[in-house]
Amino acid sequence: MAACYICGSEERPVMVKKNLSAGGWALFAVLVLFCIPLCWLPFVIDGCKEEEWKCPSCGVRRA
Amino acid sequence: MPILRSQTRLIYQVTRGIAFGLFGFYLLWNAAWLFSGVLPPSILTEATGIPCPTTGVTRGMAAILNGDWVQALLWNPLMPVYAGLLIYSAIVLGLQFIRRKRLVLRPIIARFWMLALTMGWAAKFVIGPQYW
Ligand SMILES: [Zn+2]
Repeated sequence: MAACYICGSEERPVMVKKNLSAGGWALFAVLVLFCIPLCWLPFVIDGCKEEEWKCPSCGVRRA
Repeated sequence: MPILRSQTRLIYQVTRGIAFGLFGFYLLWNAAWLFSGVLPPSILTEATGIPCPTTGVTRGMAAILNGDWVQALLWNPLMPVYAGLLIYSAIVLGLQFIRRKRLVLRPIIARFWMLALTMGWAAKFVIGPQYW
């Protein structure tokens, strides 16, 4: 595991939240066009999301 | 690496911008139709003549209210599947919401949704334009 590029901490990053990924937003756009009543689907499907990780030491966002 | 990161970021923001734009446009579109007292037609069907996976569901429900199940299924054969998935999803998400958990559907249900929508869309073309 690579060290944090800001503080150099080697602690394991922690997952803070899941956000809609670019693909998720694209699916949302397609659903808006094709069947708006179901445009909420990407927001409750994990495959449409990407995880946001943080360094537990300094809080910077990490991959 | 930093360049790749910012490119990914840009793609992300452009995609999100387009999605928001479309959603806003759709809201205005519907508001305009409702304001003029007409039930809003689907944008895609209006612009291109192509049906949507859920095209015919409203008319199908009207047919069910009239007791005409055959007509209802012709309007949209996937309607019972949509209804089942919708009820199931509503229960699952509703319970998660009450328990203050993260709202998420299991991957298998997500796949069922995508499969049902794809099949529903294909069915529109098989049955033909008289039911679009
Ligand atoms: Zn750090």
